[in-house]
Amino acid sequence: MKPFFLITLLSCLLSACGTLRQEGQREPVWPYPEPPVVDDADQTPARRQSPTPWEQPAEPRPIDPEPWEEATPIPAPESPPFTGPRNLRDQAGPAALALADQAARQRAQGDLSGAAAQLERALRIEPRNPFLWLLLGQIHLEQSDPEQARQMARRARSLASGNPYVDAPAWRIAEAAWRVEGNTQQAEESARAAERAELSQT
Amino acid sequence: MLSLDFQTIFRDLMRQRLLVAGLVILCLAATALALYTFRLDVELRERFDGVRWALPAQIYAAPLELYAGKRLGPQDVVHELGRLGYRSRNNAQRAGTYSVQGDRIRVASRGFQFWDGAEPERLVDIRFGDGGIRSIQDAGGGSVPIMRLDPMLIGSIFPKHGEDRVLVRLDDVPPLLVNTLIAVEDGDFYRHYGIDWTGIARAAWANLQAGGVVQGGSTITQQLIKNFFLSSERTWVRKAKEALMAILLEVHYSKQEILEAYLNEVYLGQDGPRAVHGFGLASGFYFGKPLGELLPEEIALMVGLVKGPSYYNPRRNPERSLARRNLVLDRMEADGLISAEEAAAARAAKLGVRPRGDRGTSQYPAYVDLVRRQLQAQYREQDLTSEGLRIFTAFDPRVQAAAEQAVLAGLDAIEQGRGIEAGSLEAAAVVTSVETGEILALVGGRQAGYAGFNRALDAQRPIGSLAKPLVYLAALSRPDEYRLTTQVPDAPIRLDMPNGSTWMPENYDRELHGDVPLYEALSKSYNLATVQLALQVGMEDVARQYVLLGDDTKPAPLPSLALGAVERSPLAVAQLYNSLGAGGFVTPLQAIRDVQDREGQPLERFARRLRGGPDAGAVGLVQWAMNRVMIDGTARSAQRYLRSTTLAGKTGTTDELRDSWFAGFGGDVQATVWVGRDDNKPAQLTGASGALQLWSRIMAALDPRPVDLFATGQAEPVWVVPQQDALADTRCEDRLLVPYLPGSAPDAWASCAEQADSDAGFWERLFGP
Repeated sequence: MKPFFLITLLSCLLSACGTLRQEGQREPVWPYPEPPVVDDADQTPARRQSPTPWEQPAEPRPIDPEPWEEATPIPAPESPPFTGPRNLRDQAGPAALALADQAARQRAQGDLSGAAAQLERALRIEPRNPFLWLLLGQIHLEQSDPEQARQMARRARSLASGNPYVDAPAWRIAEAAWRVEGNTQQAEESARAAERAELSQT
Repeated sequence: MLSLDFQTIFRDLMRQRLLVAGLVILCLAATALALYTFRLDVELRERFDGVRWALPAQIYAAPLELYAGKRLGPQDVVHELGRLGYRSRNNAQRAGTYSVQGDRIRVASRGFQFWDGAEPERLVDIRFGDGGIRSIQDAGGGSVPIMRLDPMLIGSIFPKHGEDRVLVRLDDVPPLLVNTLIAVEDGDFYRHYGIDWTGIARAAWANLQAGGVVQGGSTITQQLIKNFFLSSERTWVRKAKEALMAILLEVHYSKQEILEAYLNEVYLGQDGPRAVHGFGLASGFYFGKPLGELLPEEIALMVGLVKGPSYYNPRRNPERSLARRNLVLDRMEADGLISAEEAAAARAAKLGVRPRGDRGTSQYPAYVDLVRRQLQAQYREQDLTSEGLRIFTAFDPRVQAAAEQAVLAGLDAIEQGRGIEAGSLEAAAVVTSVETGEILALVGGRQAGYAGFNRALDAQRPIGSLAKPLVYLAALSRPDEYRLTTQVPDAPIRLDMPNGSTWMPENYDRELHGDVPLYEALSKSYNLATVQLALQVGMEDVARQYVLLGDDTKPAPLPSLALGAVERSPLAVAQLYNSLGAGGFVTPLQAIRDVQDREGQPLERFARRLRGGPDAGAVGLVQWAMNRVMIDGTARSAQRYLRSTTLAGKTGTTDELRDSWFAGFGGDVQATVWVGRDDNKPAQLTGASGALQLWSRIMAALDPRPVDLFATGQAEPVWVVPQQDALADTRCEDRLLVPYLPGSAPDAWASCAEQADSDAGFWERLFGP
């Protein structure tokens, strides 16, 4: 199970460089102020994709291409490319980043509690950094505490004001947590929400 | 012959029997002694092998985290270093020292084994600028992204009238201390076998002359035995037993082991009910620093204390203590342990003892009490007082100092300003971190340093108007029905209660205010409008908000709940208001972060937990209304104290002015303050004239981040005329920017707006103005 979550989580970030297209109609669900819409013509070079500390490069998630490939591309003239933070390194200061790095090392050694403790330290310094909440949520998931994982993901979303680079992994964590809890319906709803958020990633 | 033979035989027989009897008695005595010795030996080894002292749990404050960007001035850092017993030096090199050079502080930090890993010793330069730390560099010039100082020991959990100690290993004890101790207490320690015969002879001669036991020739081994097993009565039997055990001890254990046990066992002072045992604790108790950092004169003072911790108590009897210290210094010099120059310098030095209680159990009794109670749910009392647990908490000494100072100065000012009998008021305060739910500081009473009634936890008082935000939260959680400018009738109420009585609440000013905007009913704390609103949304829904915000027990859904006829401790109120400040997420308040065993191994961690709370959007609206309390509501008088105007809070006053409450928050810190009297007589204070005075002092000192008034939830700011609950434009003088949840803003224009003209009906336009 675990690697799957990791990969899905990862792919949320990596899918930024994917060639997904916007679906014909967007449901006004996400409180993102101006939904950025993917534009074919927008040839912005892929941004620095520094993954969160412990993420190794992984294969992009195999998404069933069908619905997206067939959708009509909509021109999105005025929505500017996303300029907000896309991952922890975009948003965290050096102190919080050093602690997150330490957390990554401890996690790699299997010390999940230690990693959580370091992330909580980082959150005392940057309590409103949604990426730190996401990482802590992921740790909770790995500690078999899906309920807290979901809460942390929800906290991350509440701080992200619609940033799809937070929303997408947050929904992926929620999806994984619901699956552990055996709630397939909620898991699938979260998965759909994640997919929609991923589409908003430029 | 026969008779002679008989006689001989009889004599022989008798002699034999006597002999046998003698032999038997001798054998029995020897056996008894052997058995006794054996029993003593078993007892001795059992006690000594474990060397398991009852080790009280040690409670630590949160370590100070240092990193570039931290809002901390050089004086704050120096202050903190002083609290930790760091010494100012010209050129800091040794761990536990620092030097200040202009806007730079060089710190030689101590290492520490934290729950989540070891913090190494470091030598760093901290530079300041822009109102905080600008950079931290290590000796090699490399940037240190983050470091933490060793945490302050704020107390321990020891049994009543119990022993307290901090264990030390012999290797960690400075050789100078060990050598001085041996020189003064037992010069032949390394040569004797537990008993020093020449010493005993000397003592015996003195005792014979005096006709009683006046002097002991005790070796360190004997003293240890005495401390370990025996009462302090001076009898020959006890002396003999002590000597026997001392020899046994020397047979089984090395000098090193005996010495280490002694260093940890010896009684060195009294701190109220707490007995200070061992040099490890005494070093902190008297000098506020670890053993390794002691100076020669400090070592001399502590070794001198062994002879009589009470008689030579440096705090109570400084002259005696000084004389004794210098005597020990003479001995150190005579034995060549220190040079003549060192001895002279040390003799000239002051006692250097910290003021009593500056560090130890007695300084923060309220917080230590809280920690003990939270632990009691998890551990057996016996484990807490004997297993040497190391408890790491969120306690912030700087916040605590600000809160204590505010309580003291605030109460004095109130009593003087209002002609209230001096010393009659009491108070409690709880300061928490909004984001983490950690309890940063706790004041249990006016004399914060004295243990006693912990009002922050145990004063269960009616919360009065502090209950009102929960009424408004219940209403605003239904955005289809209520918004901040919904008009609420401030009209009389008459309710027949189930017990036959009639409830007729009144406003504080005993006036009626007609229809008022919902937020204003809260910010001006109108009782009637609040009860009207509560009855509209239903008391069940109001009571439910308590549970949503993390309260332990759901109050009875009675109409009087709207006006706070429910008793809560300041800590319980802090939970409610911290949740209001956190905006839709509830973190159960906690004091403890993690626990290590006596070896420093991780034992348990209290991970931060989040719970779903009330709707974040609704909480955001309540925060906005609570900010109006500060701007033009019941707490507007606090503005002169506060630098930040974007704080949010609520006053609380109970019947006949018995309790004065204020609770509120900035973006990062929540504080709840109660002021009243222990005898529950009227304190003659409203929330604003009492608790608010303390609260605003605390907030002024902490300078919290502003509340993010328009960011929580999805509310959008709209210009309106609140009294009309209608949209405003620039022509409207009474307009105000008010947040509304999506789709809940008013759509009609106010009468003052230009739009109002065109909106006016066909009929009205025909009539003209």
